[in-house]
Amino acid sequence: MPEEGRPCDIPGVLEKETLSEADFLSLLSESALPFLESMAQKARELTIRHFGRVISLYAPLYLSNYCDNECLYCGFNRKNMIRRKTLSLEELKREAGQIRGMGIQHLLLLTGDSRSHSPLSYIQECVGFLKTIFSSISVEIYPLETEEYRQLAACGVDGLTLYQETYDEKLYAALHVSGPKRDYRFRLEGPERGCRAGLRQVNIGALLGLGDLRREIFFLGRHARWLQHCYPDVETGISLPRLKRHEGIVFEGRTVSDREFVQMMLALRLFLPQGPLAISTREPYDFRRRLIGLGVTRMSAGSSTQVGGYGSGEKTEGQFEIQDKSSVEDIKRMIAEKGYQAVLKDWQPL
Amino acid sequence: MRVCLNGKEMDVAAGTSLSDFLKTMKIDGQRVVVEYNGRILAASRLWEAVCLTENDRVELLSFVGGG
Amino acid sequence: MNDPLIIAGTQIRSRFFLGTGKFSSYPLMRDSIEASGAHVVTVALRRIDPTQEQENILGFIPKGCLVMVNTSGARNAEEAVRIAHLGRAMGCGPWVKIEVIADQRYLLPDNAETIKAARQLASEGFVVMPYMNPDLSDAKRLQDAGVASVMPLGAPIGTNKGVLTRDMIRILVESLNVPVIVDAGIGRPSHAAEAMELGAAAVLSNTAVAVSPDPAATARAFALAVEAGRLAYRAGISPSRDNPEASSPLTGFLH
Repeated sequence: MPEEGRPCDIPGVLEKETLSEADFLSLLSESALPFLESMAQKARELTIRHFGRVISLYAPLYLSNYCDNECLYCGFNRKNMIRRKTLSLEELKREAGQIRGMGIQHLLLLTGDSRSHSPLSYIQECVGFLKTIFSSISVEIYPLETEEYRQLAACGVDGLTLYQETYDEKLYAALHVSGPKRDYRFRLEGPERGCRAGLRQVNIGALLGLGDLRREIFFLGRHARWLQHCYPDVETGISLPRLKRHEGIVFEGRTVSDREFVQMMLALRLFLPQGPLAISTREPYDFRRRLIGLGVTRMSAGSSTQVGGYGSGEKTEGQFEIQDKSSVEDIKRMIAEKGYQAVLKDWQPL
Repeated sequence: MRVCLNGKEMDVAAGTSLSDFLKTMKIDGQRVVVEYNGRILAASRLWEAVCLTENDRVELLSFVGGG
Repeated sequence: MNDPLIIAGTQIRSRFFLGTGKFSSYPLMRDSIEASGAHVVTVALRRIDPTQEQENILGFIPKGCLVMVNTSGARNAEEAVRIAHLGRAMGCGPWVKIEVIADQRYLLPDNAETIKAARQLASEGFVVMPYMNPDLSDAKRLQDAGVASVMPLGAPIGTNKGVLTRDMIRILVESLNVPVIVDAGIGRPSHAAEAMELGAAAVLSNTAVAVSPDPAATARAFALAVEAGRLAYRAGISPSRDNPEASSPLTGFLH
């Protein structure tokens, strides 16, 4: 580990093929800021080498926004008086049709944390139908037991997204006032259970703006590398949602600047050259465009975070405000203009 | 009678014990390991107890230089 | 600097392992071991020639050396296991280097048979050190089998070509929990230093020392190179790579 007070040798770190945790810390530190451009050049090269000039597209589908948790940073906080809804199978079919009509093949299914309103059986039923339409289905739902992940894998789910939100245990306790999400450990160990259950892909992340930025990214990177090391047959990816002001979000948090965001993302790319990096529509169009070529490999497009949001029927409030409201066609064009290829279907489990 | 030593056939008087066999060939029992019909016979007292019979296979090995 | 090499509970005094084959005489071999300070040396097991006088190689290996039987000559797992048992019956300790080579042209090890032998010998309590062609999946199988280390080749035996497999070695070093000991192909002290800079725990050399004009001096040079490479690795130096070609600025938009 570098000693306190000793300058970090950033150019030396950028020469290396495999970065140690100490190297990663150096790239997260202020010492790395003057070298941001070099980091970006290397991150770009590594991403192209491992992923090609390709961006995978996906869309989120919210099945339900019922939630038993009181989380201070989320629009679905159970204390918020918003319209709650769980999609019926009919409504699901309409939503799915809309999304599929946009060309999307990779779907991310989301629910709030409510085993009563969106039990596993309901999710399985939805997956059973959706897998006849979409080539790949991931879930971003409440953390499950290994056996439950196995059941989901068996019915056609190939990926799991589960953000720890913050790796700071004390802050975590303060932000999760009540509800099952208060269990820090259970959530933290969720992705590992998913790996053991045979899921092909896991995606982890931290909500930027909650805890100390560099600390969160460090633990996030370590978590990803550890999962990669223990489950090398599983693809471990990372997302970096940034906390944005929204109706119903109590916690103020701290604004993360674009510059800080880019530094964190570049450091993660250099620390984990083979990890997919996803950027959602929380980020505006222009910023997302810039991030292509800096390490991003996946983007959501044409999104709605409202339950029932794709159809013309009844819908709820969204979980967060969507800054990039472009259509899938717009995003495909943006990707092409950058000299990349938008890939809608990357994979299909046989 | 015929026995096979290190892959080569040899004539030996019937009833010869393994230890006598080694003595006649001037082999130092300390430096070889004996494999008798596929079994390793580690201790020299075992060699006294074993009487060679027709078509026995004896392998005598010792350490040599090697990578 | 506290940097002990501990294998199977034994502290190994030198990260330079020496093979004893191909020396023109046993006294030269002994001098080489002493000059290098090697702690672990390998020997092989061969049929004796009853018509010849038996020189005892063990008499020329300094006391305190850890003698490891090499199963060279084995063409499959069964033969390797047999040789290991024979070595143990000879009073050699439980350390065994599994070397299974069916390929007489290139002398490349058979990983599949090596894994089979490793599984059996590890379950019998041997300290298993398998010589292998660096392949991550096979190395993991060996690790799961309970080996004490893996010994990936740097280049085919006797070629003295150096660490041709450097990228694979690096992958093994990063991915495994057991020590990675580079064996075969180490033709010059600088090769040994490179292997250590990659993060290898130790290096084994035989041919390069034994056939050199001055084996004892060569052995000493190897030992020093191994030490230098290890120090460099611990100091955080790693082999450099070329800089990527610069393209137009990517982060200008942030200012």
